[in-house]
Amino acid sequence: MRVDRAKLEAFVERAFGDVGAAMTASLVVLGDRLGLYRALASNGPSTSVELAGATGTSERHVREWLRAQAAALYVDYDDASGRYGLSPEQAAVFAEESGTACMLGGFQLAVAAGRAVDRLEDSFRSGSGLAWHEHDEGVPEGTARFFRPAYVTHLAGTWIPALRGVADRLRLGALVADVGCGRGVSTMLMARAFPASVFVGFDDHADSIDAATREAETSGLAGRCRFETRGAKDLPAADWDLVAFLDCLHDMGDPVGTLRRARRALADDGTVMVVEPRAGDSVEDNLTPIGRVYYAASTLVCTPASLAQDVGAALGAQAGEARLREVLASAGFAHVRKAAETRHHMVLEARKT
Amino acid sequence: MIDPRKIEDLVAEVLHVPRSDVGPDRRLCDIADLDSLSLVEIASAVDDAFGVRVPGDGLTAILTVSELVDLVARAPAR
Ligand SMILES: C[S@@+](CC[C@H](N)C(=O)[O-])C[C@H]1O[C@@H](n2cnc3c(N)ncnc32)[C@H](O)[C@@H]1O
Repeated sequence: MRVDRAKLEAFVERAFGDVGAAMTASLVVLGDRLGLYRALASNGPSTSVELAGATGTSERHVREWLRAQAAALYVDYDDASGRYGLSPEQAAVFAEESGTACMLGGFQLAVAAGRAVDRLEDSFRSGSGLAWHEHDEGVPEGTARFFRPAYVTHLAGTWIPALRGVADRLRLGALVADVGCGRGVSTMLMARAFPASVFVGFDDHADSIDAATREAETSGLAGRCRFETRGAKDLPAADWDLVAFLDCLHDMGDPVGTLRRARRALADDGTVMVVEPRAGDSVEDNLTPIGRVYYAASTLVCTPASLAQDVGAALGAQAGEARLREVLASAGFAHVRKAAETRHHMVLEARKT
Repeated sequence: MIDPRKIEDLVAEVLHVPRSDVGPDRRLCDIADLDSLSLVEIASAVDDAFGVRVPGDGLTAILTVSELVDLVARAPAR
């Protein structure tokens, strides 16, 4: 079939735009690390000289960075004054770390995950996996920052209340395990929301657990929010009222074995909450901007991580509800329901009885 | 001094709900279906109206309106 000139032009233009986005990703990471966005947000529109002065950086580098940012429409440029500034929307995305529109974690994750490309080339050829701890440290940190806005917005206010009877129990005082908790963002948000309950976060990535422990100490939660380096299949039996898995079940090598373990460790009337990236059941359903991000992250990080563990089930980050229900059923959960669905996530509730 | 009613007005406006849906003891997430941008809008509207920046890690979906008022009252002026 012959090439269609108009279609080719449009597609080349789109791909070229993506080249621009890919190049810009590293610049966002630089802006984040060097505090360039934060200085623009707090000082207002600045020249390259002013911004370099404010951040202790070299003007010539900063000048080029600013031009690239303006071309990306990530910062505004005012030709008359020669100053670069952030609109409120740009500031929300690039300068407000704790705000819920922040995208810095996504860029950090994308750039850090890309560092594994040589090892992934080998993995693709050999079929071997690549474990979570083998990645650049920007992967766990970027992941925590990436998911944080969704957890701040939905975890304590929407997802937990959607589980039958769980919020009431947590208000009275319950015991909660957050399995695959990473740097503990979700664990600490739950601990703040339910001060009468005790929370334990587990993850087999020691550096993440260390970071979570430090954070819990500085934020005064250490008394009822602890972290332990431990694989999910070694979850201690403790009559947990709630065992939560947030965006991590698909990263595990043996999700069925892990859930079976959670089922045994749970109180008889306890609940398992599985939060996973929202996805349809067919590939076609997920060929969307959201699916693009998650399939890519899944190829670089999640699927290789699962393949690096025993069993290597490799569910992928867009497994879909039907597949997740199968996994829960295989683990012996007779009662499974979809409790909630938000823009990026779905929440499955599983109980023994 | 922060007038709590002004914050209630602002919450109703940003979340597009009738003013009568907003009271001091209601949590933001019970007033409307929030998305992550709703919280950013609330912070921005507060900044606009009172010239203060509420700390993003304090502003969560489960705050009640009166807790939001406290947060605004304690927030540093910009
Ligand atoms: C995508 S991250 C999500 C982390 C955290 N829940 C969050 O949302 O920020 C997946 C996490 O699962 C953890 N993980 C993967 N396999 C595990 C296993 N078998 N046991 C415990 N943790 C595991 C990884 O170390 C990583 O922290």
